[in-house]
Amino acid sequence: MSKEKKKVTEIPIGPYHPLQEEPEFFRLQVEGEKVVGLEIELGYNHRGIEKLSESKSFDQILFLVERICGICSTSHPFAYVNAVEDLAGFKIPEKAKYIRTIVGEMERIHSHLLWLGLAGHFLGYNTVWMWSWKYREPLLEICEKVFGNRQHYAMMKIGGVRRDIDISKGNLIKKGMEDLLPKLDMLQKAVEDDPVIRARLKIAGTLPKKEAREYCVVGPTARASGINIDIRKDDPYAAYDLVNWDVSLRKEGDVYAKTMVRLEEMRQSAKIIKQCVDKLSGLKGDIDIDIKEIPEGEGIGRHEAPRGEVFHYVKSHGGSVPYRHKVKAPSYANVLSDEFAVIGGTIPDAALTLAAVDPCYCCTERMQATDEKGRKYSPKELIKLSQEKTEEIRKKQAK
Amino acid sequence: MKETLDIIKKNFGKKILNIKVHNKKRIYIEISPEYIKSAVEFMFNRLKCRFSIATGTDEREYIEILYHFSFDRKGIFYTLRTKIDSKKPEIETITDIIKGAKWIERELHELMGISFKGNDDLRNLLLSPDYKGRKYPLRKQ
Repeated sequence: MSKEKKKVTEIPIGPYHPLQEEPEFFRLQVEGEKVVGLEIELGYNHRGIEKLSESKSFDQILFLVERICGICSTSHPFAYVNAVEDLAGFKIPEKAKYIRTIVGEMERIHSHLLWLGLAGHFLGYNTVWMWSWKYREPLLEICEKVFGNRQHYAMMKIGGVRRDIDISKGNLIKKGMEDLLPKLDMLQKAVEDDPVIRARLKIAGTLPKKEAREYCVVGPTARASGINIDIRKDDPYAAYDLVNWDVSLRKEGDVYAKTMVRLEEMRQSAKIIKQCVDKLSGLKGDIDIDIKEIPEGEGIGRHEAPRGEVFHYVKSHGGSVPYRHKVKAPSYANVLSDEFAVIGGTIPDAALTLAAVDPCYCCTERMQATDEKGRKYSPKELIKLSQEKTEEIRKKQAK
Repeated sequence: MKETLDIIKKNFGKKILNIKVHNKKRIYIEISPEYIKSAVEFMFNRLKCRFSIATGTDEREYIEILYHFSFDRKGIFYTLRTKIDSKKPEIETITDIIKGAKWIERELHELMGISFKGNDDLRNLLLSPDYKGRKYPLRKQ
């Protein structure tokens, strides 16, 4: 160990992150309150997906890659189908393009709301957390009604989509978007107007444009540092070039900019979804093409997931399984940039900065509260129960 | 697409062994391993491409490394392909040019057994630190 290293104190965060509840290990090196170094250790959750993929058929892989991540459950299948379609040169029907886009954007909105809630929680501002997750819930309900599940929709298929969207549910989606917009304004105001949140986010974890490029960061992390990249605009796929929308961009590179970029992106996603639903309602035809086999060759597919570019490379030597399947998730690039962004900040800022790139979470767990007889509680009853419990605690403390 | 490809061709000259235009957005350029570093530097620093990731494939007779560069302004993927000896897989590091390549070199080292000359931090990234077996998980049997 060098003399330099001897002087610093090391604060271990992990291997199971106490706040993010994820298996990753950050070793924060500090001098007093100031962070001077960061070492990141990964691999606690390595599942060997690429190796597994080599033993599965092209169709089965869809179900495997859907399980890489719980929150961007459609992003990996999206990039994977793009890769196989690039390999084989398949063109998908227009209807499938719109359906794919709707699924992708619904996921972006609920993922960003999840992040915003967690950011509020990390700040110690739990109102933002509760609001954000409260307004995320109706979106997941729409996902369940329209795609059949809150997460893991299994909508993607090589050559199209697996199921059509019942267009009578189009109004449900559109109403969900209409209801969401004022809530986004409210959340934005909460972040913009509150001097404490603003001050807290403004200085934390700045990643300048130069470093953002060196670390090859993607998604909102890059766009908050003034790098104008968005796969949906740069290399359009599905229906992203058939609808109007804008890329949200900021220059500051701090956590505040990352928050604003994500808030604006949700508005744009709502705009995209509404246009797709409109276009879909007048559209007739197939939702997929008939595929006999995947030829020999190689293909690259990508998708702008909520966290940035998801990359899939598929190589086939003929036959029903791929010879090589490479996967890259956006956090692979974004998390590494933390080793620059936390330096010079304070310890509490570091905790926030490490969360600001939105490292991937699994949110597939869901619960249904029932009483002893198996009767399900309604949301109203659950709120009532919660209030009664709070009152009970209050009375106990008063004594 | 053509203009950028012409610039690449002009700069790389005889270093290019083969060019495969899969479609107008996906171009694969094969380069011999000794020139890969200068090619990566050109793609990243001069053309201002974004390094997306590298893929290693065990093709049995040789190991293939693909460096995927995204030319975001035009939405094109330029992939540099290089083939190295599978008995002694060694290539120069690119981490001094691109910091974002630190993890993928560690990953290719542990899963494929590729050595990166000039990279002194090739600790295991995904596998356990004490996994130092001779079997590399992503090599074909």
